Amino acid sequence: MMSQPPIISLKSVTFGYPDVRSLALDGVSLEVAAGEFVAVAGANGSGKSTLARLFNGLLLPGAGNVLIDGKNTRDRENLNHIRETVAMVFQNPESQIVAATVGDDIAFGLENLGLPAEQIGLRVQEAGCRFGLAGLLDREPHWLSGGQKQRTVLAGAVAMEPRVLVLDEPASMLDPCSRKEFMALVRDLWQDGTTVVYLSHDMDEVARAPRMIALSEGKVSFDGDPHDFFSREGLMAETNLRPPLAVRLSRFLASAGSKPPALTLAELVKRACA
Amino acid sequence: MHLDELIIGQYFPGNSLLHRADPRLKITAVFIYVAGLFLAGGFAGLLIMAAGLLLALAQARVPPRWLYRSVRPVAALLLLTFLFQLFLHGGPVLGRIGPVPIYRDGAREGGYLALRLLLLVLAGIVLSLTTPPVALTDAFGKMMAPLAKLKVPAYELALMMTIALRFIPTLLMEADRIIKAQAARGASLASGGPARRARALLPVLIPLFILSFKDADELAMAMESRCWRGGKGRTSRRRLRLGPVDAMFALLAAVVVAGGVAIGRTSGF
Ligand SMILES: Nc1ncnc2c1ncn2[C@@H]1O[C@H](COP(=O)(O)OP(=O)(O)OP(=O)(O)O)[C@@H](O)[C@H]1O
Ligand SMILES: [Mg+2]
Repeated sequence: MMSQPPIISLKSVTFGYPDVRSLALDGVSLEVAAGEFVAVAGANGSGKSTLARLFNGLLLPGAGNVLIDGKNTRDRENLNHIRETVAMVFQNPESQIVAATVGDDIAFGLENLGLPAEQIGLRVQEAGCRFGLAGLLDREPHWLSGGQKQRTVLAGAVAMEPRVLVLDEPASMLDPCSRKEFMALVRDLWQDGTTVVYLSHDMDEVARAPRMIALSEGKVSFDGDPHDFFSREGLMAETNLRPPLAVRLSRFLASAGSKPPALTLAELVKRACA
Repeated sequence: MHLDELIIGQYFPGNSLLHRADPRLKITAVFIYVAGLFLAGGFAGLLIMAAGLLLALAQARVPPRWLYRSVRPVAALLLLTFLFQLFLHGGPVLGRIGPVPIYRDGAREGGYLALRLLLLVLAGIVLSLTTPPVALTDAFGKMMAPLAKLKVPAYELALMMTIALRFIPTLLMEADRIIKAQAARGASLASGGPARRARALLPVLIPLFILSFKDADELAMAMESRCWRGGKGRTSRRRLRLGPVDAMFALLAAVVVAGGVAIGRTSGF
């Protein structure tokens, strides 16, 4: 069997914003195979959003190349295909909803693709059902909860049937309950075959991914199994990331034997969280 | 009053003939109705057209309270129109209010112009009461689409209307929130002279502008990511097809306007 070419491939990509001395991305090389779930972790300002925007040609690299499904984002003729292949969900749902009702917004991308009205109707219904918006298709966005808004955005992206879904801190503005719900939806999409790139600085989200890439100051400082990353304290310090609670707790428990025992549960929790 | 109650469009949900008629047809009808108002040339014509409008409102079951609420903002303008004309024209004296004489031609002209203005405003209100704002902007977009051939950026204009419709309520809610936050810190927008009030408004407007610019940037990226590339080759989820309801509506509207104009021009009243 021939191995599939990667669906995303970056080769020594460098990117700097105009009038900013330091580079936002510096020599980033990575590959994502079709069907993978990759979490990209990094502290604030490490270049996550910049990276996300390179994946569908919203930004073009200063040096190096970004290939999506084998096609270079520099070539304007590829841009349509690339944007149909890679769908994006950003952080703030409020500024990603274009149309004045939920249904119209889910349809926005499909209308841009020039699909016939019947097909748009079908896909809007389908996406509405899948993301729990079936009864809200005529609702105006300003009456939606944060979770419903972000699900609308996700539905609008997924309705276009992209092969890759890039999510840039999509859950960071949601309450814990909607966040869980949203993550479950993303996981389902992955299990149904969509490639997922999930950028976040929430380590509890990142730790659940089978593969993680850590960014620090525009460079890839780790690429592999999250278990490996979190067992190397030096790496974590370098990326300025706080390990997930479970990691801190298990470390604490491992070292607890050498200390006098905690007498109350509260004391134990207090020590573990320190 | 809350700013979010000011939200544009004041759709009154329903399932009447007027509600179900094609929005493109309704927009056209309003334009023709307004033209009719100017052609009618007499009270008799205006009264017939007013009757048509009232029938339409009754048929759509719009409660008078809603009508009153939407006409109230222009009440001062109507009164001003009437008073201005009242004292501009002469003719026989009809009576006196204290020492001020009321002339027949003035009352007539004032009444005529005020009624015409009221009907003009009402026609627009009826349209917005019986058509959801989304359907309206959609219809405007579709009516403008043929202009794209004349290099008018029709799709872009339609998109602008949609985005305005999408974001104005959000911005108003945001403004409301900011005003309440400022009020909680002791700032008041309700008191003081105009200069003072304008100055008090600044802390509301500045965050709002910043918010909307930030939104604009992200919105553009979200649109680009979803393959927005101008109007070319774009289709629409909302399909409009004319049906029997529309034929009935068009017929009734034509009867009202044509009747009003014909009678207005011939009756001499
Ligand atoms: N539009 C811009 N103009 C200039 N510099 C920018 C711009 N956007 C980002 N930067 C800079 O580029 C660097 C990387 O920013 P980026 O937004 O990619 O980081 P991030 O990892 O997404 O951060 P966050 O977690 O805050 O979203 C930062 O130093 C940032 O200040
Ligand atoms: Mg970011």
